[in-house]
Amino acid sequence: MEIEQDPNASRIAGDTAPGDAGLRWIGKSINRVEDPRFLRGEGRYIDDITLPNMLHAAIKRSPHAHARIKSIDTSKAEALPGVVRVLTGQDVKEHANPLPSFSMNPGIQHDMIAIEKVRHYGECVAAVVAENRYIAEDACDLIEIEYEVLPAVLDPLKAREEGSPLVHEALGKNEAYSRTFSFGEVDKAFDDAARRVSVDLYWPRSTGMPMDTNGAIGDYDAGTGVLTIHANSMNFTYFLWLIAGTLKIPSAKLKIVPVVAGGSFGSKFFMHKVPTFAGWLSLMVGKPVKYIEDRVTHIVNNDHAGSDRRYKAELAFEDDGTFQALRIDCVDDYGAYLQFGVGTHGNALSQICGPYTIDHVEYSLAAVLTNKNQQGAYRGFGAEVSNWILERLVDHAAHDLGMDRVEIRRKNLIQADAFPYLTPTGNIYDSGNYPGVLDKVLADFDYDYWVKYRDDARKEGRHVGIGVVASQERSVFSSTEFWFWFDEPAFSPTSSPESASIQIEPTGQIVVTLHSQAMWGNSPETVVSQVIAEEFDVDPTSVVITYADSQHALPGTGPGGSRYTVMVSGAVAGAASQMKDKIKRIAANKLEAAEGDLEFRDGGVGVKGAPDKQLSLSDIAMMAYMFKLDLPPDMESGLATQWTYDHPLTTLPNADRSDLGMFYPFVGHAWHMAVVEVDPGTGRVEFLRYSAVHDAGTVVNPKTLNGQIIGGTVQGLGTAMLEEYLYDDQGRVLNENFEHYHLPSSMDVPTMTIGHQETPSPYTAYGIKGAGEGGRMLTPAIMSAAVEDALSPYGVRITSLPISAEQIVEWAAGD
Amino acid sequence: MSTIENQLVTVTVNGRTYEREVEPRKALSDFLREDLELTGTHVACEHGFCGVCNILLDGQTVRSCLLFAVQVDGASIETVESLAASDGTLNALQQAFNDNAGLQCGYCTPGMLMTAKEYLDANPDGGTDDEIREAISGVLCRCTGYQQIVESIRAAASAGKGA
Amino acid sequence: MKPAPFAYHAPKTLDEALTLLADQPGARVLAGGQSLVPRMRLRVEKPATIIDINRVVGLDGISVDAGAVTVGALVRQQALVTHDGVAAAHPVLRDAGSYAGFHTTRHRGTVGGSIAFAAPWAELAATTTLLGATITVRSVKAQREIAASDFFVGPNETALAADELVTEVHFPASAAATGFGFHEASPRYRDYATAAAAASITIADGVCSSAALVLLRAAPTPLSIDVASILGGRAVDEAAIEDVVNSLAGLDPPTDIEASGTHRRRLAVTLTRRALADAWVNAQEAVA
Repeated sequence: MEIEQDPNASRIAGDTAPGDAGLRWIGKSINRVEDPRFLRGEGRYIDDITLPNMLHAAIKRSPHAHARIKSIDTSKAEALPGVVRVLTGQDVKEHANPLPSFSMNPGIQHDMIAIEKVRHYGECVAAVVAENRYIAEDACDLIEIEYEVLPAVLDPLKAREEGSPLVHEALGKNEAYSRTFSFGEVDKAFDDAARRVSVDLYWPRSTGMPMDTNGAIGDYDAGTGVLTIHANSMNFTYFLWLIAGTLKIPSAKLKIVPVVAGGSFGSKFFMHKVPTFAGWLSLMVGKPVKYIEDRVTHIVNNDHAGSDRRYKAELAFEDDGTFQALRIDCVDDYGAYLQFGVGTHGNALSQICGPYTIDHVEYSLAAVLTNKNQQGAYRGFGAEVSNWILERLVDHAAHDLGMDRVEIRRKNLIQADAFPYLTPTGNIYDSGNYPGVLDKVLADFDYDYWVKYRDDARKEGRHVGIGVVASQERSVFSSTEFWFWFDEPAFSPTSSPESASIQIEPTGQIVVTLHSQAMWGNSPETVVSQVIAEEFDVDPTSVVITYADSQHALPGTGPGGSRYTVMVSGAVAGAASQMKDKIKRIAANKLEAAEGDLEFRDGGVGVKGAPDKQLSLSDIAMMAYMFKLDLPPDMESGLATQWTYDHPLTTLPNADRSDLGMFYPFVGHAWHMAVVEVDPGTGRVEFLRYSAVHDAGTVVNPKTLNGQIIGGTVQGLGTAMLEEYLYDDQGRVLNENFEHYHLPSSMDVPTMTIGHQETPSPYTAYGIKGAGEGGRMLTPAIMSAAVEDALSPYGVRITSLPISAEQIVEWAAGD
Repeated sequence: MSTIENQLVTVTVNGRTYEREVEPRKALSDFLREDLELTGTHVACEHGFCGVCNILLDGQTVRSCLLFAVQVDGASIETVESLAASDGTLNALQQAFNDNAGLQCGYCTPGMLMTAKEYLDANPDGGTDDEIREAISGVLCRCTGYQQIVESIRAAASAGKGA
Repeated sequence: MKPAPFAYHAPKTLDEALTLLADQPGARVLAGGQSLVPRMRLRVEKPATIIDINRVVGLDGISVDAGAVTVGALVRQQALVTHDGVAAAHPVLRDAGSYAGFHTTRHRGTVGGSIAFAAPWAELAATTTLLGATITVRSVKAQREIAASDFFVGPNETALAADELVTEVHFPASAAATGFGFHEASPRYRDYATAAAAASITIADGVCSSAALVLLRAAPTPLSIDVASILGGRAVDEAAIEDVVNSLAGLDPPTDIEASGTHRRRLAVTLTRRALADAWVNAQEAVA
């Protein structure tokens, strides 16, 4: 298919394409340049930062999932020595606006502190600002609140019914969204197909749960009226004017300073409540105020629960295993608010048919509000869930046919000559060689060996199982996925840029400024250093990286949707290109050479084939700053460039949404294969083998990419086996701390072997695709498959997660 | 309201002796971070279930969020700040983590390093991978999935030195 | 999550500690802190007074004498688990003890603290019961010995009076030719036990002469199962073990956030089978 691309974007892709000469720095497993400060304990996370006269805040959380606030008595709290101010929803109502939301629905209002009623267990009902956090928490205990407890809406199916209590009276119903999308001729395809399998599946709520919670320091300067907020969670620099709206200050007077985050996995993705709240507290008391979520608060109040969905799904296929059509019906329990609209389903629609040639797909969605902490982003952002659904259907189809689970997948893979591949929804897969990845993982895994091993073990009464799973890994979202759900969206942005600026100091040192809160545990500085090294032939460890605050920032979206490596590479390549143009002009002028005869080498620029005709970057920079009369006559002083790199391939949906456009076009592909042994007496699952092969286009740094793959796989393992929000019948979260919310430890996880294949993207700088979410997209499906296989003597069908030890023992007991 | 007296604590941290007055309820983790401004030790759960706050107390790992500063009067503590040289050069254990991608966000890393140091001091040859995994089983990491941490610790042992 | 304010005492002698305990009703004793401090952090406990006994001298001895083991209350769990003399006299103390948290938490957690806190999942609650230990407790007024089988009254509830402190635990010597087995199931590695089974079998003339089985989480407190009457005089083979399993039919274990009673009953059966099988093998090795 023909694809029209933004000329700037295509130029960058063309200039940086992995060429025959090979790349010198991109592709090298250099040590991460971020590491040394973290290894020394000098990371400067948000709680490490102290400002003069800083106060500390704590919040009081609602003990009820749904209740009207009848009265709040703050007098005892205010009287406690060391308390500066106690604030409630009435103060928010008087002095602030609601928090911004991508759902743009005025019926669903979210405030920093609950105003008239609370809508989920743990929602903030009051805040204390005090001299230290200890006193602030003491004061919270002294706040007396009278509630009128309301019936909690906890079941999304019941929540849709007439007469259900309403989470938002102003909305008038709990079903915030309902629509069916149809691509192709689904009914006919189902009717014509020889067979079908169907599943009812449940994917419960879990959350990203980084070790570093959300935190921020608000610092209001009454003199200038500038509110500075240091935050570990603010991206989307071009949306920050919305925060200023909440705070009722001019957006030009809002300065967000990015702070390193100890992990995110989505939970810091435009996580605006905590920074806005800290900023507001500072406005209210006139001093710096630090607010850090404690762990319990983070679990119950973090605005980023993962997907919580009930599915009915069907796959139509032929007797020879050819897939024909897919039908998916989803009821999504969003919780009390809808900050991203239904963007987590947009994600799914980017790769809903997986790596398979399925031409007809129907997707029905009902997004329902309930009295729970709202959904947000968690690694995969909804695509990991639809992968699970699809792979379960494929496993069942294989079982139905008595066909090998690898062979049925191989048969339906999109072939290497089919790219760019137009999927039924309108999104494309830019490039790929899926059979190549499969062959690689088979070679590593030794599939036949493990099949025999499993069969022999079964004869001995052991419960060994094999799981195989294929998955797409879409990367670099466009902002259209947040609003193409509506025929007439209230707000329909099409921008999702990333920016970088490069300055070369008179001493020749290269300084790159990033324009997002970019450091979550990914490797933004290493990526940038490697790209700069590639562009200028300098030592990557010599590059200095800084981060712009929002007053000085160009538009930046930040990490999320596996986009940052791709987008920052494009931004740096763009700025580098401009920088190199200027350097060449200066050098050509000074060396009296043609620009075309110049090359970047050894930390400088020189005439090809003439080693003595060279200028160092310092020589060039000195001229640029100090020696104007040595520059070409029309050139201004200075040596700094910047580039805002827009999403290189975004197109609009059509009017009736039968074509959603291209919104997530850089798509990687991966296979995992695993062998497990299940102890039917205790439910414990051990790993005998785990192989993974990922194709994320051009790999910048294989060592750090492996870290993302393993980390993502282990998070998926947590989702598959351990993690779930548990509620009582009143909507209280029962596992609101680490005693009962179980994260995988080093003893619960496999050792993986990881292989790579690189099928570059034609559209991105260096052909890079994003890969940060990848591992998590596969593990739930592979664990379901492997445990089901291990327990096949019992005829088990896994239809919900997590696959708990208790459930395994119950299946094996069969009574 | 509080008639609770502050107590004097004298404690050696990373070879330097400090004397501070603290409220009895001041957690050791907060004492290190706030009173001594050693922010390398991090807190992730503050109720003793994650190990991110691990430090060495008289040579043994302990969860610093479960101790009160008043309890370490007279004791000797080592935190992550003790590992690198005074000019910032990473020690062999830290370098092994850098070489083997043993960290991503870095938040659990101080706790992981002190736990690894304790393990390697007792097992300089590194032991088996299972033993390494067991040694760090009480420290949660949400980023790495542990595999590259195990490789880092094994590499540190192979380099012939612990921490 | 910061704890609420408390007055703090760090007595240096046992008498000082006991006097404080008598004078401050409602005070909480701080030993290892691995169970108490989390509760204080979550503010489910807000003791007004803390009596930190970590500085009390004389409570941290371990002695092994002809197979009998005496352990001071302040002995750290890791010290007990790594003590070779203890392991030789009572291997189950090392085996089960290594399931109690992580080495890091065992560096602080104490033997006396674990017993006094009496968590229903405490491995020491099982092993003291299994081994017929006696627990010495003291108040300012008196000292008494309490049999382990009488000590654990309910979840986090013991026979201790409010002014009493555990000072010592005594594990009598096991008979020669005794073997032990211990099995535990938990959600993750070293989480609190969902269920556990601790077994001992003594062999005489090639058959079981005495046996004991203690289950954790099959009831609100450690549950001693009468296995001696089932296994006495027999080889502990599969059939014998199944007879024991059949006697478990009436178990009614508690349901909580981690597991249902049904699951705990199934685990009790599985872990009993494994613990008894191991104990029989180990007993035969002890004979040899």
